[in-house]
Amino acid sequence: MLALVGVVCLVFQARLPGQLPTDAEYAQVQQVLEAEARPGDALLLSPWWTEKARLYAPDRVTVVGYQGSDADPLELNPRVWVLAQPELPKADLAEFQKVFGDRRTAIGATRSFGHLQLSLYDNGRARPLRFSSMQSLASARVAIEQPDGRRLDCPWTGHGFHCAHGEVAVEWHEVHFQPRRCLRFFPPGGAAKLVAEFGNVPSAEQLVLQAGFIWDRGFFKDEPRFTPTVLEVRVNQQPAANLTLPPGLEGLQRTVGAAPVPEGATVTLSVQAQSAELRETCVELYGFGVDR
Amino acid sequence: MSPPRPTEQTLDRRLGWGLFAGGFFALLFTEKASGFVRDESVYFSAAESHAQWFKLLFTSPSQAFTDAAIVRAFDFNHEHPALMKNLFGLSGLLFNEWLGVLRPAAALRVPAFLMAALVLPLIFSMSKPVFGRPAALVAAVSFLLVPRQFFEAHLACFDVPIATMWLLTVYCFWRAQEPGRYWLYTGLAFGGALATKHNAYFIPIVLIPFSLWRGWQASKTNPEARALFLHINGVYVAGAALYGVLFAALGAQKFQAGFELLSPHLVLFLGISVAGSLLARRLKALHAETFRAVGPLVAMAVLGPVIFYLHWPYLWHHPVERTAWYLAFHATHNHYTWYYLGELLRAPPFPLSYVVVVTALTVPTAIFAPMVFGFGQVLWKAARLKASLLEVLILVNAVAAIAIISHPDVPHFGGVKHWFPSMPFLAMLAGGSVARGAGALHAWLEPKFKSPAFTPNAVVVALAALVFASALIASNRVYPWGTSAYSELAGGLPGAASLGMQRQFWANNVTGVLPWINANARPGERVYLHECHGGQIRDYQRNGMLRTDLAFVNDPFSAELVAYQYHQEFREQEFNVWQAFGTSKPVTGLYVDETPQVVVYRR
Repeated sequence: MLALVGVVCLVFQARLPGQLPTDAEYAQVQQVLEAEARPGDALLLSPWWTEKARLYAPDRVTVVGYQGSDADPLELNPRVWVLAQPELPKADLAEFQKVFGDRRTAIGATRSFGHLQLSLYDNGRARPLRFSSMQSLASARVAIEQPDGRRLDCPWTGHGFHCAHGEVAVEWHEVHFQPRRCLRFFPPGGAAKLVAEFGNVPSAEQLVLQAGFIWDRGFFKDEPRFTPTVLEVRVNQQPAANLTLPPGLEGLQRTVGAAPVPEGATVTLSVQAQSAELRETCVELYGFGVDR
Repeated sequence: MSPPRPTEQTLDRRLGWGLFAGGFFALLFTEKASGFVRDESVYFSAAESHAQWFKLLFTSPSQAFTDAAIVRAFDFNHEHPALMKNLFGLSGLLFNEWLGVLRPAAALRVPAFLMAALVLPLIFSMSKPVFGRPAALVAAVSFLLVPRQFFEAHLACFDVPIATMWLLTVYCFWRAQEPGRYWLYTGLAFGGALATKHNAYFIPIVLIPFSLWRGWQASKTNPEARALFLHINGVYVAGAALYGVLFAALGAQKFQAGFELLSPHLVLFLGISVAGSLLARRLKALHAETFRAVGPLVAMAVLGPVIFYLHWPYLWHHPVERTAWYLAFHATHNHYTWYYLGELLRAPPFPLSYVVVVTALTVPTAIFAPMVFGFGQVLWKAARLKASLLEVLILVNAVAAIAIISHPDVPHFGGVKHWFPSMPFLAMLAGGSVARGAGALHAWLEPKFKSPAFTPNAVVVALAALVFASALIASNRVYPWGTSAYSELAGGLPGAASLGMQRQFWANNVTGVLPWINANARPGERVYLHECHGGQIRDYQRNGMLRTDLAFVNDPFSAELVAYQYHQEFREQEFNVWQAFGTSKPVTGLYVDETPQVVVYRR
């Protein structure tokens, strides 16, 4: 029995170096991507943690690899390249395909470069983007709004809006392992709200609000000083969508507006939490066109 | 005429020394590659500060004994006792400052190598009576074939030394059951353990049941010895009860504040110690066998606190207040976030199975399997009341540290190091298992091989070589990234990454990108070595591993070059780098078996 275990382990150790891709194999993948990838393409990694690929991906390609990224709809990416390493121990490409495959159509055949497999997919889950709070931030009006409706405007600094409790800007943040390019949109505390008002928003079939606590903030819950964080979207002053992030809720939360957004609408996004302590929030607001 | 064959005892002594020397030189010769972990640079600083005090002791003894001089030298990092730091500091003075034969880090680490090397002959000596010489050799060697143990054995830290001191105390306790002075050595070893790390406080809990059982059995036929045995126990039970009453009556603060010279507290300690010692002395004269059961514990109770106090100058002027702080620090230690099976464990309660699962996923499977088989076999024997005292002692100590750390409220950070004291005993069980397997194999194959070279020992060697070859390859592959090592059961590092296991800790893997930084950083470039504190940077620089012209900063926003240490709990900090640098594309990195460990970004 022990001899058998020893032999199996020996075989594992002997095989492992031969299961790893070489730099030359990565370089071949790089050549293909340089030649064929389009702006807006995503490169999805399988297994998710094989981020060495970042060294080789062209700048115009968004590399996606985080715990859970197999299920990422990648709504903003019409095409998805999948870079897989199926030979790695505990890599399960079949399981990946089960999660990833829905509404994805392969374009051409899978190409193998040694231990790397590169496949291109049409992403049926992508949606035409009509509006993004991140893209439109510079033209927004940002203010702290008191319960009586008085607003104290936050001035634009060239990078974001400077409010009394901190900056409102487009930044990279982690929301429960996911890198998100989102609005840094922290509640000011008390009854006051942080408000971002976007004017002349193009029409959209669907309004999508996504938000989550940054880094470890979603973990904290057991103390009374942590209070719920309330996000609200109004379209032309009418409530359109809202999300409540209670203490202890981790991950990106999502809600969809009840009605389409009319052309030229004013969309107001707000956040409020009685206690702002450790309630740093990453917020994304999208207007999507009709599904493809 | 051929030279006379060595006696069994001589052979064992030679093998013991051989193991010790082999272990020591293996560590010394591979030392250079080991990066400086976060804690180690702190201990380096503390050790050098202690060394300055030792210098003062020789140049100006009267000044050295003042509390001001002691605090100056020992206040830094007083959350750990001083024994190992004293040794590190003195070794640094000897091998680097005076003799100049080793680089600063190696000189400071020499006592760590000695302590780790000592594990091997101790395992050998304790295993041999139960499992035989070949098994004992296999057990000893297997200890250093576990990649995480091999890596941490290099470090000027306390986790391997406390495993050594725990093992040494148990070894002395076992030897004390025979005629000789090991009862005294048990007390000395326990004092050394207390002076090494706080894990030592659990050793008596493990040994007391053995002592009581042995003492009860031994005194069965001698009423006078039985009475003395009970009196000794009574003294300690009464002492503990009186301390309990004092504590309850005075409250924690007054109890601590009142613990002074000539206070009831100290008188009580002295009374217990003197009474226990006198009774033990009488017992020794009356009935040696009963004494051998209880004597080691009396020695531990008396010598342990005395050695703990004497070895640590920091306690000399304020023993109770500073000991209380030390104990309170560890009783209320922070919980650091730890990544386990795809979850970030940030606070208790932690999964009960955590320690066993992590052991299974980090100890090479070819070593873990015989550990499990050996454990099961001895447990089965013990359940049928057929196990010897030594076997049960090995069995209980193999699970003791694992059981303690498995408690869901105990801090779970630090990889496997917190239950290292179990590992030598598990190694013994593994050695026994391999030898048993070899015996069975030999019996099966013997009729087929008639060669005189086909001896049982030859089969043990062959089987051990087969079983441990994979561990040796794994150690060689992963060293010096020891905190990243995962077993075949985990699927190695790639498998562990897919399982969602902590990829590394302690920030030493940064050495994987230092050569690139040294070669590519611009003069004076602002560099942020994520998770590395100033002490580590100082140590890399003074050991010639990092350029001294670079400017080190503490965040990505003021940096031009960042070496990010991949931890799941630090992803926000990596995305801060993307934010600061406007790119998510690294320029290089340390990728061990494809797993990102340290990722370098440039503005």
